[in-house]
Amino acid sequence: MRLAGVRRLLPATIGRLALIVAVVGSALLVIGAEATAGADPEALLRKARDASATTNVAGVVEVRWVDGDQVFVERVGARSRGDAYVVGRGEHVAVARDGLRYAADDGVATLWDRSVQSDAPAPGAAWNLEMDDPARVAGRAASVVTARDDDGRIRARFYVDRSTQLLLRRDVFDRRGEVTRSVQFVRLSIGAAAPAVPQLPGKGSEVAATDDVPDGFTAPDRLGAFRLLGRYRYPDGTLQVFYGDGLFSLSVFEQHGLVDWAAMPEGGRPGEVEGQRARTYSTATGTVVVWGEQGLVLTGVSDAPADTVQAVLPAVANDHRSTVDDVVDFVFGPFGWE
Amino acid sequence: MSEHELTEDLLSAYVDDELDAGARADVEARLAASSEWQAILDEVRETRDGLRGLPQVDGPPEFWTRIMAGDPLQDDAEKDQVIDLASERRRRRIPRWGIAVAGAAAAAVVVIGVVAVPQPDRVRPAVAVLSNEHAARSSVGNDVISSLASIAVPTRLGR
Repeated sequence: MRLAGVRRLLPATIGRLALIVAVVGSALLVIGAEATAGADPEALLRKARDASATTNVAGVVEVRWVDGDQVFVERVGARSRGDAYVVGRGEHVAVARDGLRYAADDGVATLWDRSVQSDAPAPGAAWNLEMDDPARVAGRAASVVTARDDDGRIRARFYVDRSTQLLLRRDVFDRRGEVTRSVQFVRLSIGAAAPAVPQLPGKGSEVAATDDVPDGFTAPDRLGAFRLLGRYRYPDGTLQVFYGDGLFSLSVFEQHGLVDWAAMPEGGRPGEVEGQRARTYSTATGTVVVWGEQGLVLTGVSDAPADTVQAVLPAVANDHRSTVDDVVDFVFGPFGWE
Repeated sequence: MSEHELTEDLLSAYVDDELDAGARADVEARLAASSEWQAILDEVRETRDGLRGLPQVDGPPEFWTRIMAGDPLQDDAEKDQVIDLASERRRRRIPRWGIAVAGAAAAAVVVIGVVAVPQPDRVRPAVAVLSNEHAARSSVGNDVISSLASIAVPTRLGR
């Protein structure tokens, strides 16, 4: 009798429980979907920029990049406290405090003016941003923003922590939709009492912002969708022109002389920039392209998709062309002479 | 060369188109091989053209009488005015040592140009360092940790 009662009650109880689970689950899905649908991807990426400067973290970051048919994966420790950051250790440590940056790998410390970033384009200035399905990164719930090009191809994806807006992961895609570069936390503790950040070297290579473009150098206002954000002189005379398109950044380093091709590092792939011999490398930072143009050695570095970088760099050469070059092209162009 | 030794008289004949085909070919081969003889040829042509450009003047009545007598020149003064064109050409010709000095000077100019005139420096851009500098600049006002992480990993430049 007692057993029979249990048998009668059991289906009803399970049914009610299933109903409750279904209702609660649906409610959570609706809330989650509304949160995602209602989020402004551009605002979210802006918050992610700021969160980096206000969130104390300790964790492990994985950097993954592809070079041809090779895939490189490295993991480094990272921690921040206030406005101080330390990533990596030993010979491969990068330290930041305010505008000062120090990289032990090359022993170069550089001082930047934080104010130069104020006129950076909006994140959606050059890309079509949209919210994607939520995901989890390093065990944390993340909102996902996808950036598409004008042809609708996914070119980048950003994973932003739901509670702190900290950027947890960033993927860059090639034209075929393959991830070519990725940086993500694989372990993360937020708000923990992060260890102190070491002092930076007292003296470094101070980079001077300059409004003038020295004779023989070039600094176009725009390279495709990239807008000029700053010009800097290094003590050895190198000029760096720095650009941003809202999501990615691009630098062109300019040095007087001719490229010493025989002394260039191993690896990389041969190519051309505007008809000039070039060599392209894939590094943890991004795509690096070296070429020569009218007495200048030019090195372009960018975290943007490689094809985007290749598409905009010819604008550097075009800006450097003289009227004589244009006349020669006009006259001899139809004959295929150079 | 050949059966025809190159002389200035032969060159004159060449200029006046008085040589047969074989002799003409020999002369042209010799001229092609010697810039010195080419210069002499230019002088011969110059002289011939100069003479042809002179106005025609009738001689004095007794001139033809003296020609017939075999002594066209009246006195020593007139004989002194005769110019031996062959010796004049030799006098005007640049001596061999002059050509050698000019060649040496030209070579010296080339050597000085290569050694002393500043040539553009050969530059090997420090790819890894510049890559890091870009990442460092990108981290300012941006997500700091993701930018610095690429600096903190060992640099590898592909295959």
